[in-house]
Amino acid sequence: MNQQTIKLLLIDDETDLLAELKPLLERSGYSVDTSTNGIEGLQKIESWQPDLLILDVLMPHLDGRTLLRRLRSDNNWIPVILLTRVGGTTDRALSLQEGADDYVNKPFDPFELLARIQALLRRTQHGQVVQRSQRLQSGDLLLDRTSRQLWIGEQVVDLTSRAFGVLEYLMDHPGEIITRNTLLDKVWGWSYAVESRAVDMRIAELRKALNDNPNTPKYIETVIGTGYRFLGQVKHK
Amino acid sequence: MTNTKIGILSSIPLLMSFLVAFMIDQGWITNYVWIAQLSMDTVGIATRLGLLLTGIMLTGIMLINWYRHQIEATLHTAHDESANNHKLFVQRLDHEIKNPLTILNLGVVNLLNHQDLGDTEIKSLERMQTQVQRLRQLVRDLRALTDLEDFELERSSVDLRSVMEHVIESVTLNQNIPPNINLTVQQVPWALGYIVGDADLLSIAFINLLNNAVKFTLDRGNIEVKLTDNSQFAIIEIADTGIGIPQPEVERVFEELYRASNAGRIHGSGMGLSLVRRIVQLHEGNITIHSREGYGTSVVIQLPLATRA
Repeated sequence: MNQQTIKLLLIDDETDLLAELKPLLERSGYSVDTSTNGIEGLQKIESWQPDLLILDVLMPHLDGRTLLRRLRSDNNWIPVILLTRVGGTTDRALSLQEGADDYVNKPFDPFELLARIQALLRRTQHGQVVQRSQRLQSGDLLLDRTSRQLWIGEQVVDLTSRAFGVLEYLMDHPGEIITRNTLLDKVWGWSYAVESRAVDMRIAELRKALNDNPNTPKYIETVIGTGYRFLGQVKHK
Repeated sequence: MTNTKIGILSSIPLLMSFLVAFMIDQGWITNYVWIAQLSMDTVGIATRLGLLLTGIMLTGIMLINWYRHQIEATLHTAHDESANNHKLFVQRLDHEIKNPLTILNLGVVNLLNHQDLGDTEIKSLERMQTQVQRLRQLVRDLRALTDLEDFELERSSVDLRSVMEHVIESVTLNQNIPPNINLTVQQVPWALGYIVGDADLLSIAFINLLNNAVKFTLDRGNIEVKLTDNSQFAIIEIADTGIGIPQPEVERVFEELYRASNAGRIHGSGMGLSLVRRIVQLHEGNITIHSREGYGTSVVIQLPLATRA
C-alpha cells in the first residue's frame, strides 16, 4: 500500500481537534477526511472507503462504540483506532473487545498516534487478521483470552494476570517492537509512570514459564534500549 | 461514659429500694410512712420509686444510644457522599480537560512545524509545550488517583528489600542525583518479613517518596532509607535533610494538589503524596510524616507482615 494513497477518516465531534489533527496527518503523507458525528461518519465510510478510521468514543447522536459495533456486525473490518477519554482499565479492555484494533488515550502525543497508525497499517498490510480472535496460537503455545489461560501443549501454565496481559499484547503484535511504556499503558492500564522494571519482571516471569532462553529466544526477544518483540508466527483461532 | 457504666448507674435506684426493703425486714426502719394524712407502705413506695427511676434512666440511655447511632450513621453517609462527590469531580475534571489539552498539544506541534518562525517564536512555543506537558502529567496523576479508588491489587508475596533495591536503582538512574547528596540504605541484618501486596504499586509509592526526598534536598544533604520490621509490620522510612515542611502544613501535604508554601519553583503536581497514601491504604498499612522546616522530612510507612502459615 503506497502511503500517498492511504486514506484516513477522522471522526470526532470536536472541530478544533479535527482542524489541528488533519494537517498533522496530511504532513505525514496521508489523505485525510473528517466527520463531526457518527452518522455522517458512517456515510463517509460507505462512500469514501477509507483505509483506517480514527474514532472518538464520546460523541452525541451516534457514539464511537455504537458506530464500531455497527461496523463489525455488518462484517466491516476496517482498522479502527479509538480515541478514548475514559482511561479506566475496564474501559480500555472494552474498547478492544468491541472490535477496536487499538486505542489512544487523550491527551495523546501526536507522534504516538502516528506510530500506532503506521503499526496498524503494517499489520493490515501483512494480511494479519484484524478481527479479534478468542485464541492465539504460536507453535505449541495456546493463549485463550476468554478463560485467561495459557497452554503449552497439554499443560496449563500458571501466570499472574499482568504476565498474561503482556504475553497477550505481544502475541497480538508479533514481529513488532513493543516499548516498555506501551506495555505499561496497555497492560497495567495506569497512565502513571511505573518504573519500567515492572515490565522486565513480568517478562522474566514469562520466560521462566515458557522456558524461553533470553540468549536464544524462541518467543520473546529483548530489543536493547527499547522493549520486546514476539518472535513466533501467531495464528488467530 | 460506657454503656456498662450507665447500666450500673441506672440500676442504683432499684438496688436502693431493695436495700430499704431489707432494712424494713430487719426492723431497722418502720413498715409505714406517713405522707400528708396517708399511711403508705414504705417497701411499696421504695420499690415503685426505684422501678420508676430505673425505667426513666434506661429509657434515657436507649434514647441517647439511638441518637448517637443516628448521628454516626448520618456522619458516615455524609462522608461516603463527600468521597463519592469528590471522586466524580476528579473524574469530570480529568475528562473535561483532556480534549482541550489534546488540541493545545496538536496546535503547538503544528505551529512548531512552520518554516518561517524566528527564535523568539520558537522559544515561546517550546515554553508552551513544556507547560502542556506539565498539564498532561497532572491529568495522568489525577487519572491514576481515580483508578486507585476501585483498584484491585494483584496480590503476591512481596520481598520489600528487593523492591527497594529496584526503586533505588531506578531513581538513581533517572533522577540525576547531585553528587553532594548522600543516599544511604539501612536494613536489619536478618531477612525482612514478607508482606502480601502489589509490588508494582509499592514501587510507585517508594519512587514517589524517594523522588521527593531528592527534589527537596536540593543540591546538598543526606537521604536515608531504612527497612526494618517488628512482630506485626514491615517499616519503611525515607528521611532527608531537605527544606522540610512548615509545621501547620505537615498534615495537608497528603491532600490532592496541595503543595507546601516553601516548595516554590521545585517542580511537582501536588499529587504524589495522595497517591502514596492511597497505595498504603490499599495495603492496609499506615503512613506518617514528620517534618521541620529547614531541617528535613521523614516519612514512615508501616505495612502488615504476612501471617505465617
